This record gives sequence, C-alpha cells and structure tokens, in this order.
Amino acid sequence: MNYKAVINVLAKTMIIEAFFMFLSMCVGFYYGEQTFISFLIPIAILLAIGVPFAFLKYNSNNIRAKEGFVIVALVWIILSLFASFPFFIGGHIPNFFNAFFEATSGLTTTGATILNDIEALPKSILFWRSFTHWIGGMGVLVFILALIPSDNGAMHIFKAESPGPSVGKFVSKLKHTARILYSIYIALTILEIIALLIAGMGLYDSVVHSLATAGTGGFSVKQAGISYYNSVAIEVIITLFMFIFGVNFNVFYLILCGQVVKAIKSEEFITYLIVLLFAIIAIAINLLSVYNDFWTALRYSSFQVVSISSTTGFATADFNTWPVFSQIIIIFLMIMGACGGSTGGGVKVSRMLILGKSSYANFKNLTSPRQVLTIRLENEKLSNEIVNNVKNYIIFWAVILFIVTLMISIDSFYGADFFTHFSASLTCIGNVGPGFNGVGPMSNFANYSWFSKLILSFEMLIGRLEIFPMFILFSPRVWKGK
Amino acid sequence: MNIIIVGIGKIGETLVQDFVKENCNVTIIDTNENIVNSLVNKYDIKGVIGSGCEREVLENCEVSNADFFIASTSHDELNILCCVLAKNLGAKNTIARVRAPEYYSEIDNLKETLKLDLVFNPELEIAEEIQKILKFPSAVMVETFAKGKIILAEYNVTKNNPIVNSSIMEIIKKFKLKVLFALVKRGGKTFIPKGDFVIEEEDNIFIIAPEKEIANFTKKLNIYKQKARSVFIIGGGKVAYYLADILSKDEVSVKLIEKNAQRCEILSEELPNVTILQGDATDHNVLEEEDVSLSDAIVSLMGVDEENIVLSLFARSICNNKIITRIDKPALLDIAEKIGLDTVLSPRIAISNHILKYVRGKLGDHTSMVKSLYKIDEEIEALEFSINETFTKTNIPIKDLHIKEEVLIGGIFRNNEFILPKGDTCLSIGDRVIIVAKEQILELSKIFN
Repeated sequence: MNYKAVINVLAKTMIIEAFFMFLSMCVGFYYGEQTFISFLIPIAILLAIGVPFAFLKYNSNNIRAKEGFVIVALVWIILSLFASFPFFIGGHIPNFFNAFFEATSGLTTTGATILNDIEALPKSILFWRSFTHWIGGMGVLVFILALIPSDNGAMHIFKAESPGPSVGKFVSKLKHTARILYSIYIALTILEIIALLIAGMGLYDSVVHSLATAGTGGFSVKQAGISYYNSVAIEVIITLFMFIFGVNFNVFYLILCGQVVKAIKSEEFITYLIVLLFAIIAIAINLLSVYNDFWTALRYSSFQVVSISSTTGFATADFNTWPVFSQIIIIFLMIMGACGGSTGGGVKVSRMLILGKSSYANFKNLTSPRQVLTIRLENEKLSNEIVNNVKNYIIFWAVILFIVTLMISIDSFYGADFFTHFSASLTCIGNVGPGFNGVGPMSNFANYSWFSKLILSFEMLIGRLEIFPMFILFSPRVWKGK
Repeated sequence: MNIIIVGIGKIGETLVQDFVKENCNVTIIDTNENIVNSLVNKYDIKGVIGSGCEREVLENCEVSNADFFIASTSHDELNILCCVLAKNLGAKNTIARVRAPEYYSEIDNLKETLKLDLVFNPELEIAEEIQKILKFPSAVMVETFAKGKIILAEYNVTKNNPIVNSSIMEIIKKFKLKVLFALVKRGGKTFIPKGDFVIEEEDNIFIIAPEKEIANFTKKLNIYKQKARSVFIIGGGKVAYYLADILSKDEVSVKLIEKNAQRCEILSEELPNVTILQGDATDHNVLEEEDVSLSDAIVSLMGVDEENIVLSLFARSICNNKIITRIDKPALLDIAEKIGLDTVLSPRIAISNHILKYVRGKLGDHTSMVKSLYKIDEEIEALEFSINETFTKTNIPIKDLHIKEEVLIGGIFRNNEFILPKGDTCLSIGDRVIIVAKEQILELSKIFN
C-alpha cells in the first residue's frame, strides 16, 4: 500500500472541501446570518490537516487499482464527516448522527433527510446542504483530477469514483476529460438556474434547487418541496433537467463534438427514454382514479417518475396514496436508477441492459448449445470480464439491500412496516431519497435510531461508490503485506 | 500534441512511455484487449481496441486531429496500410515500422508513393548501434554526432584507472586531454560534473570528443582497444542479419551461428562474405569448438533474453573480449547491469534515435534543427542542433548566455572541426551544437534562462 499517495490525495480533497465551505460561508455573510463560526471551525481544521500533507512527496508510479479504491473510499468517508460539521457545530442539527446522516445523504446525492422543519434553518446552512449534492454528483476527486496534472495511476481513482460498468475517457489526457465533464456540469447547472429564474423562482431558491438537481440529490429548501411553488412551468423545467442529469455525460460530449446522431442513437439513452415514457404513461393512466383529469395525472406522474428514476427525489405528490400498480413501477425505477456516467444513482440502465442481454444469450444457448454469441452494447463487444463484473455487482447489491433492511428493521416507530424498512434501504443504496410509508416523500428518516442512521449513511456511501471501494477499504487483505 | 500509436509491443510501449513523458495526448490502438487495458491503467492515455486499418476505429481516435500516426505492429504490410489509411483520413505525419530488408532497396520510392513521412526499423537501428560500439570496444556505449565525426562515449572507471580520486580539472591538465566530461553516472544517479568534480571508482563517465581524441584519451588511460576486426554473432535473426551485413561491408570478419538450418541457408545465400555456422550456441562445446575466444567481440542476439544473458556470462568466463548482449525486456535491464554485463542493448535505443528526433524536429521553432537525439537514461538526453540564420543569440560568449543549470553545451562542430566549448566561445550560424540536458529540450533557444 502506497500510504504516502493515499495521504497526499486525502489532504488535497480536504483543501478543496474547505474551499467549497468557504463559498457557503460567503452566502452566510451575504444574508447577514450568524453562521460564521459553524463554517470557520471546520474550514480551519480542514486546512490545518490538509495543507501540510498536500506537500507530501510520494511515488506516483505506485498508484494501482488497490490504492485507487482505498483513496476513493477514504476520501468519501472523511468528506462526509467534515461536511457534517457546519450542521453540527452551530447547533443547527444538534445530534451528531443526524448531522452525519444529512451530510452523507447530501454528498452521495441521496436527498433523504432527518429534518422536520427545513425552513427554520439559516440560508447558508441550507445552501451548504444543497451544495454537497453538487460536489458529490460529479465527484470531488474528478474535480481534483481536473485541476492538477495526473499521475500515472490516476486512472484507477477516476474509475473508482465514476459510476457505471465501464468507465472510459473522452480524450487522451485524464485532466482534459475531467475538465470536459465539469464544464458540461457547470454549464448545465447555470442553464437550469437561468431557466428557473425566468419561470419566476427567486435567485436563492433557483440556485439551491439547481445545485440539488445537477447532483441528482433532491434536498429542497421548502418543507413542501417543489409542490410549494405550485407552478407547472417550474415543474416542467425541473423535470427536464432531472432527466438531463440522469443521462450519460458521454451523450453531451458527443453532441458537443457535433455527432448528434451518434449521441441520440446511444442504446442506453434510448432505453432510458423508453422506460421513462412507458412509466409516465402507465402511471398517468393508473392515476386517473385519483386525479380525475388526465393532464393533472400526467403532470404528477411525469415529475415523480423522472425524479425517482434519475434518483433525484424531489416530490410534488405523495405516491404513498397512489394505487399499488403505480407504486410497483416506482419501486422498479428506484432499482434501475439513471444511466452510467451520469450524476444519478441506482443500479444504472447500462447494467440492466448488460444483464438482460447476457441472460438472453444464456437462454439462447440452452436451446442451441453450439451457437456462439457475442454480447454487444453500443455496437461494441462486451468482454466476459465486464459481464461478470455486472453480475457480481448485482449480487453484492442485493445482499447489501437485504442485510441493511434486516438491520434497520429492529427499529419500530409509528408507521414502520416491512415496506418502510425495505424502501428505506432501497432508497439509500440507490441514492434516491424518498421511500414509502414511514419514509415516504412527505415524511423523513428522523424516526430511525442512531444506529440505523449510521448503517444507512454507510449504505448510501456504498451505493454512491458502487459497492467495491468500501468493501476493499474494510477488507484486511488489502492492508496486510506491503 | 496528438499521437496515435497502432500495435503495442515492446517498441510500442517504449514509445507510449516516452511520449507521455513529453506531455503528448497519446491514443493507442491494439487488437489485444488485455494489453490496451493494462497500459491505459498504467499511463495517462486513451486506449481503443481494434485494428488500426479499420476506418471506424481510426475515426474513433480522431485521426484527423493526429499530429503523428505511428504504426508499429509486427507486420510491415499492415503498418504501411494503416499509415496510408490514416493519411487519407487526415493524419498529419505518418510513421511506419518496416523491418524486412527486401523493402529497403526501394524505400524512398515506397515512401513517396504511399506518402509515408518516416519509416523506422528497430532492428537496423540496433545493428548500427552495435557497429558503433565495436569501433571503440573499450567503451560501454557509443553515440555519434555530426555525421559520425564527434563521439559521445561511456567508460566504466575501474579500480586501477589512473584518474580515480582526482578532479576533472586535474585529469585534463595531467593528461593534456582535449575532451569534455559530459556526465558522470554514480550509483543510479547521473551528474553533470563541474571542474572540481572528483571521479571515484566504479563511476561511469561520458566523454565528448572527436574520434582521434577519444583514442588518445583511452591510450593515456591504458584502456585502449583497437577496433574489433573479428566478430562472433550468436543468433540469426533480423538484427544479426543487418549487423553481419554492415560489418562485412566494413571489412570485419564475421562468424554467425544459428540453430535453424533453413534460416542458415538463407543467411548464407544473402551474406556471401560471412561465415555462417549451423548449431546450437547454447551448447558450450559448440562455442569452444568454433574458437569463440579468438574473436575480438561476441554479440548475443538470440530471441530469448535469458539465453543471451547466460551466454554472455559464459563467454566472459572463457575470454576477455568485448561482449554485447541484446535484452528486450525492460525488467531484465537492471539485473543485467547488476551482474556485470557491461554493454547491454535494449529497443529503447533503437527508437529514440529516430522517432523522437523526427517528432522534436517538427515541434521546434525552426531557429535550430534537431539533428540527432539520444536518450542516455530516463532523464538525460544528448542532442545535436544545427543553428539556422534565424537564431538570434550568436556572437555572445557562452558564459554570458545564462544557460540553465541542468544543461551543458558539450561541443561545437564548425567548419569540419570540433571546438571544445569554453566560457568565451561564441555560437554562430551554421554550427552544430551538442547539448546534454536533464530535461526535454525542443529547440536550442530553450536552453537559456
């Protein structure tokens, strides 16, 4: 294990986090709030630890896959820990486990909250809360890779942090790839802010909601969420951008390069679009019994479907009151999640596609054993390695889902049934946000015990980092030997 | 700068390594998925799996933006085909690896018709490299500048050498030398020495001087050996063929031993002035029977690195001649040096000469032209520039030029004469300037602060 490299990268991320906190502190200054100390203390700690170690010299030839996983897992745990300090220190969220849950939920772009009265918090704290979505969405290590010249092993870090079954580069240099990603990310965020401003949302609200949409997080600054505004225009804009941030960024890069046809022909994109359209229409028809009028049904159906499948988790309606058929579709969308290479969570559309294709190929081989089959995605042959990784991933994913469901089901509170616990676990591993019944879109996670909150926090990290980095961090094999 | 490399073997990987170090945008293409993946993880490059002569694959790599397209697969014809296709799709410069001797008779014609900007032949380069060393058998490594008139030679300082424990200034005065001490390698580190630098035992020193002065230098240090008059080549591959061909044309008597009888017949037909032996060189009896120890030099060029190492060790145990060993695997290079094989040749040498020189030449500001380039190790390069009319810093004494710390002017070649640079020497238009530097120098104007 190349400890020096791990420590160096950790120190660099701490400096970056201090910078992001500083921006939130400035928001506090602007609104004349008393949140100065809540930010200053964590910033001071981050810089005090980060700056000296950022100059640590290390052997850059020795960053291998193992170091990549460990760096990413450690960075995210430490980042979440420090992100909770502004909530905790000023007494805005007095309980440490609540603050940690909130911070992890922010960074992993889950959007599950323990707050009962959101509007009571200062604006700067709420800004930080939504800003963590934006930081976590594209990934803080990708941000660092965009700034500094990359070492030889940096690809391992990039791979471990970016979601999706196979992570590639747009251009030869990692630094340039990371810059392209962040440029698209920032441009789309600004576009959304402008669109929301035009639709009549205030500046602060549009910025905060845009940050939350860009990271596909789902923290709102209103207790009632997006339904507070009761505006079709705002809902349409947010729906559109939730969809956009759920798409593989590769598609936007291709469009930027002028290859629009190739971009739109992307198999993953088309599948994502078809599944969403099907879900929206099916639920809208199913909801006719609730809302009477088809257009109202379509309005609520489309917002909820896109919000859940992009794993954002904004809500304009309480799907707890919807018919079971709609609820089952929503459960499926929670599992599937967004496209690989987007800021969204879930299992990812591309993994679903790979799994489906390989299962179909295996099925074909049952009847004609001699047939040689090639599994293709986006017109390229999928190696056995990738297919096996996907199958492995799904198994690990399901096991964690059920173990966490089991562990948190010890808690009992009003409305806590099987569906509550299961959907809480599912929503956390998929980084979605709302669940069903006791943790539905109009409720929150405050009722869970500190132990369950800790478990769920780690489940969110496992979900965001796609399982393996966290497992490798805690596997003794990695730490033994030199 | 965008570079596409097709075919990732040993040469390909060395190229990737060099270009990544030069901060280029490198894309590699190979049909072998494992090789591509392992290199993409190791270096900051993009990898594409596929054939380099497929239009789709090339477009995927944005071949139209490529400044250099290098085809280095094991098939000459494929390399040429890839280059032709890449050129048609907009690649600026195409470079093909062509190894078969039969293609070289019409190579200029071939280059012109197929619009190839450069063809390179690692095997021929290695053979030429060996020939240089055989001219100065007491040197570990020899490079030449100014069309072979100036020499950079590496010598190992042994215990009995009279220069041990004296400073460079003293050595030059004592022996009245007209040579330049360019570099000293000590324990894995390389220094650009000043006048008060003290030479120690087991140092490797690099000397720049014309041929005559080098001979003079070795005579005074009692390590003079005459140019090799007879050479024993072990192995009959492409390098061996080229080497035997070059040497026999240079009136050196060459014996070549090869196991494969069919190959022997071809060699014997192609190389009438070379004694071709058929036999297994790894059998020690065969070597002793053929009186290997009577040759001035022994060159091991078999396909397996480990066999070459063992053979060289055996040869050293029975005679005291110059021994040259070819080693392809980078991992074995260090080991070979540690166990005391003095002259070891790796493919790095073969490519850096040609391709890097070509690429740098295209990049420079055209006030100077790169004429030769040698990578001495990972960090240090020796380069030769020719100064054009547009160069501005002429007629200023070197001591006033503010040359960078890690750069040394190793020699100036003017009007067919070698000038040992001193503080009051000036550069002038038309000079060939030899530079030794610890960083990558694109053009001569970059060596000043």
